[in-house]
Amino acid sequence: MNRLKGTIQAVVTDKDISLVTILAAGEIFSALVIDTPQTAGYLMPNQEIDMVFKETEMSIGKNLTGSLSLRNRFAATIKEISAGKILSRIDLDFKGHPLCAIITSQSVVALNLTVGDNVVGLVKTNEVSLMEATI
Amino acid sequence: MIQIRVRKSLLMASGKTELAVDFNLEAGSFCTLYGKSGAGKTTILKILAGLIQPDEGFISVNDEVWLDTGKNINLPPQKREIGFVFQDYALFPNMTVRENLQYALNGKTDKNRIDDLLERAALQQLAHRKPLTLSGGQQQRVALMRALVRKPQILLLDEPLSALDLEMRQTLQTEIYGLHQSFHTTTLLVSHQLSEIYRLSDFIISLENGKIMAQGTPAGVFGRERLSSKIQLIGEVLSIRENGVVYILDILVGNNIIKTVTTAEEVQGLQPGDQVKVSAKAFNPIVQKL
Repeated sequence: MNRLKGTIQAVVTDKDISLVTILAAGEIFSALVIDTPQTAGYLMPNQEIDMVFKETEMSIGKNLTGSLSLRNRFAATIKEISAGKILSRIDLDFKGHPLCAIITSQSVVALNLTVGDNVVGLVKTNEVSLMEATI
Repeated sequence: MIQIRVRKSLLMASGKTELAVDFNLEAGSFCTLYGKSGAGKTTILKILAGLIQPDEGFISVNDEVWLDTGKNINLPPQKREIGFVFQDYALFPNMTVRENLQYALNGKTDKNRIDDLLERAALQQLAHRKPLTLSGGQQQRVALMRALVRKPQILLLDEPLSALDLEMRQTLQTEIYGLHQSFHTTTLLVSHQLSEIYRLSDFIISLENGKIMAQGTPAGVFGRERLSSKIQLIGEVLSIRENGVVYILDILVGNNIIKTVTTAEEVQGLQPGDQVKVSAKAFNPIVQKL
């Protein structure tokens, strides 16, 4: 799993759902969780947390133009590509933090992804889990 | 309240270990002793039952002292009000089901109590049968009822379900849960089945080499890293298959086998038989009416 440390900036709650804004490595991320400050005490500003998201839930963009509904997008560099028949594993460097995306090998070809490329990492808000920070 | 404070030198397969534990059980609680074999779990049950003497110790059950080595108090097993269920049923083969329950009452008769327990365990039709003519699950039901017939202060369950198949194990878990809800007998279970522990216990004591490593609620002891994910299942890894850059895991959760896609890092150190926690976001599942 991908894991990034961050600090909660804001929490907006509507009934059971909260949209949590997180600052991690100088970028703003958001996470949608079925929790509220009442059910999860750590959902408050300035709280350190870990963001966790699955490799298969991460997408890669290159030369992106136009609008996208995805809230979490951050510049990263491709460190390594392991190509399988159907799936490929893209290891990324995001400001010194290792992240990994598993995407189809077709996409690797279509986007002409190569090691050293500057790309955009994309993660849907509802795919980000939160974990109380570990030491 | 049950207070247990014991110390004993043990000779385990792995060498010499010192068992030294000190814990309290709330009356009416369901506590599980969890740990690898050789951690001292069964020894603690046997010390409570009076079957093993500790080098030093104090046991008090609802204000009655069962053991106090400092004051030379040591109630014999028959004076301790316990019910004990072992993995291998341990029923008297020459007695019928009813006679097995009757025998546990030490000559007293309490037909109503026996009938009530036989009915709860759906054993009325089998009351006249000898244990060896029953299935494993039925025999273990008889053993459980025999342990409860005396209204024990503590019910000790030493891996009672480990010899049973999965389906029977789950059925009996439900029955044990129901019995605990009705009788509120303080129960101490030895188990290493995480799903069983989560399902039954409200308190866990995790043991390693005769020492308590952690105690608390199941979520507190096992859920140190608490993910916000709302779908969390406990399961057993059945198989791990490499598939290009990912791995496919078959995981048994209850009666169902689920499949997950994982990375090389996630499967590192994992092997079939391992217990795992599977987490997913509440947003993923598609729900359809059956």
